[in-house]
Amino acid sequence: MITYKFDGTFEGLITSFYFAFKKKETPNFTSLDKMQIGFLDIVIDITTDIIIYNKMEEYLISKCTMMCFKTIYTAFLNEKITNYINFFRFIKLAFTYKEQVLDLRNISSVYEVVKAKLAVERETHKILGLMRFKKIDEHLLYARYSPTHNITSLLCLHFVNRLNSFNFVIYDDKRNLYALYDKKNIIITKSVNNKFINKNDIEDKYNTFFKIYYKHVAIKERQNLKLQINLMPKKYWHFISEVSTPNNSFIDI
Amino acid sequence: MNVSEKLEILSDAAKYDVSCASSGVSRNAKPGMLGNSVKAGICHSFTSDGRCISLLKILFSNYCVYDCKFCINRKSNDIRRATFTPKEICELTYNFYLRNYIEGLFLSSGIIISPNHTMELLYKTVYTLRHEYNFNGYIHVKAIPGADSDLIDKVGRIVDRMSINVELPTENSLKLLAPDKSKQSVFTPMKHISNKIIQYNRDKTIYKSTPSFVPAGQSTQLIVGATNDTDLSMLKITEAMYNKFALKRVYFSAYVPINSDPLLPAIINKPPMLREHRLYQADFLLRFYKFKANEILNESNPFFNKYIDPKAQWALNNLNQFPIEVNKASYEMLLRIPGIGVVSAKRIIANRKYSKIFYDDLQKMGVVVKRAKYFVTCDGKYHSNMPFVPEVIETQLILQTNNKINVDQISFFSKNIPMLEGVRI
Repeated sequence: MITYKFDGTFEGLITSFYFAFKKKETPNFTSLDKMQIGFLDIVIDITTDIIIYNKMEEYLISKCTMMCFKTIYTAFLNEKITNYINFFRFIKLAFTYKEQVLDLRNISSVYEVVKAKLAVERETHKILGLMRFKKIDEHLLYARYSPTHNITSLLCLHFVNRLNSFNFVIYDDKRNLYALYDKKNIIITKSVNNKFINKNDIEDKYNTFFKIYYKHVAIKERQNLKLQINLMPKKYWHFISEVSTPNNSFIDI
Repeated sequence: MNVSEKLEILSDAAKYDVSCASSGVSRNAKPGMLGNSVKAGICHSFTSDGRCISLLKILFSNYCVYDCKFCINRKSNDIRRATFTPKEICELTYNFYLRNYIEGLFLSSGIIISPNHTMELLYKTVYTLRHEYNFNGYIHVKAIPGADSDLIDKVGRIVDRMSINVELPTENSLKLLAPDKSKQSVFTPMKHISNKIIQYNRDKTIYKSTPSFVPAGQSTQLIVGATNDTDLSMLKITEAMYNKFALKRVYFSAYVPINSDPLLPAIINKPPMLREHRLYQADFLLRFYKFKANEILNESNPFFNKYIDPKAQWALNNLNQFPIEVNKASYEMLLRIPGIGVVSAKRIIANRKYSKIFYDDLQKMGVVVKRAKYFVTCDGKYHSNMPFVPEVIETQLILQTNNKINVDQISFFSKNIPMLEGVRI
C-alpha cells in the first residue's frame, strides 16, 4: 500500500490530493503529527506547495461546490481523524454528485466525513457560548480556552462579526495558537512577542456580578447536576469562571 | 442598596420565568454597534438545575400591585424589594455581553403604580440600551397586560421578542389564582402584537426601509400543576395560540411551591417535571410533526402516559397504520414514526433518490433504531425480533426508557404480581 505523508496542514492534505489525482492512484493519507503507517507501506513524503494548493482550491470549489469544500475543511479540523482516505473518496464522489453527496449517508466514506464535520460544528457552537473574555484594557479583550478540536479559525468568524469595534485575542492553549484581531484583520499564529497574558488575573467587578447572578438564577427545587454536566461538559469548566474552582482553573503564566 | 444586592433580589425574582431563549432572529453586526444575533440562539452557561443561561434574566422591579397567588412577587408577600435604574441595567447588559457571558437581555417587571407606568420604564431602558449604549444583541421584553398599545408598538420596534404570560389555561383558574388578570387582558395585547408583526412584514415587501417589529416573534408561558387543569386543556390552548396568534413558542413551567395558600395545591416535594416534559414533547409534535392536539390526547384520555412519550403513544393507538415502509412513505408519514425526527426524515427522503434504504442505514440517517424498529419495514422486511403485537411493543418501549422498573421473572409462588399503573400489559 502506498501512503502519502503530509505535514499536517490543510494545505498539505490538498497538495497530496493533487499528486494522487495526477498519478491516478488511491493511496492512504497520513499526517506527520498523527502518523499511522503499516509495516509494508511505501511512504511518499509530500511537501506542501501553496501554489498547488491555491490551484486545487479553485478547482475543487468549481467542480465539487463550495459546500463540499467547506465540509472537507471543517471535517479536517477534527482531531480524531488519522487517515484521510475517506476525504479523498468523498471528493471523488463529489465530482459526480456535487453537493448532493452530503445526502448519501449510507456510503461509509461520506458518513465518516459528515460525522467528523458534525462533531466539529457541535463543539464550535458550544464554545461560542462558553468562551469567556476578559477586558484587559479599554479596547483589548482576551480569552483563553482549550477545545477538543482545532476550531479557532471557525470561532473567529463569529467573534469578528460580534466584537468588531474591539481588539481581541483568543488563545488556544492546547495547540498554543493565538488568534489576533485588530479591528481590521485577523491573524492566527503560533508565536506572539507581546506578553499580555500576565494581566490575565484581573478579576473585574462584572465577573463577580455574573457569579452572583449565576448563583441566584438557579431554582433549588429543580436541581439536576447530571443535566448540567451533560450540557456543559467538565472538560471546559476550567475556563468558565462561574464554575471553575482554584483546583481546576488555569494557572496563569 | 448597591447593584450586587439588587442583582441578587431581582434575578431571584425572575428565575421562575422560563421563556428565555435567544433564538429566532439573525442579525449582522452594524458598524459602531456592539453585537449581532444568531438564528439558532446560543447558550452561555448552565445553572445547577440544568437550564441554560442565554439572556440576562432580571426584573426591572419586584414591587407589584397585583396579588397573584402563585407568584413570588405578589403584593402580600413579605420579601425584600428592589428596583433597578435603566442605566444600571444597561451597564450590566453591555459589560456582560462584552465578556460573552450572555446573549442579550430579558427584561420583565412587577407592576409599579400602573401597567402604563411600568411599560414606560421598560421602554426607557431598552431605548437607552439600543441607542445610547449602541447594543445590537438580543432583547426580550415582557409586554405588560393592560399597557397602552402605542407603548407596546414603541417597544416592539426596538426589541427582538415580546411575550405575555398566560400562566393559567382557563378563565376559571385565572379567576381563582390571579384575580387581577383576565383572559381578555392577556389575549388583547397578544392579538395586537401578532397583527402588527403581519403588518410590518407586509410593508417590508414594499418598502425595504421598514423597521422590523418583534422579528423573533412572541412567546408565552403556562404553569403546570398549580391548578386542576388537565393536560388536554393545556395542549388545546397551546394549539389555539399557535394557530391564532402565530406564536413562536409556548413554554411550560412546572409549578414550584413558593407561596402557601389554601387555593394552591398542597406542598409537594418535587415540581411536576415529568408532566412538564411530556407537554414539551407534545408541543414539539404540534410545531414540527404536524400533529393536532386532539390526536395526541382526547376527552376520555386527558392526561399523558407516565411511561410512554406522546408520539409512541399515538403510534400504539393507531397501530393499524404501521408498520410503515421507509422506502415508500411520504414525509408526513415518516414524521409519525417514533424514533424518526424532522432531520432524519429529511435525510431519508434525500437519500431515497439515489439508493434503497436498508435497515443498517437507518442508524446512519440519525434514526433512533431501538424505537423505530417496531414500526418500520425496510425493503419489505420487518426487523424487530418481537412479534408485531401492541402489548409486546408497548412493553418493550416502556422497558427501554424506564430503566428504574425492575424486570424479574415472576416466581411461580409469588402472590403479588407487580403491575404498572395506568398501562395495560
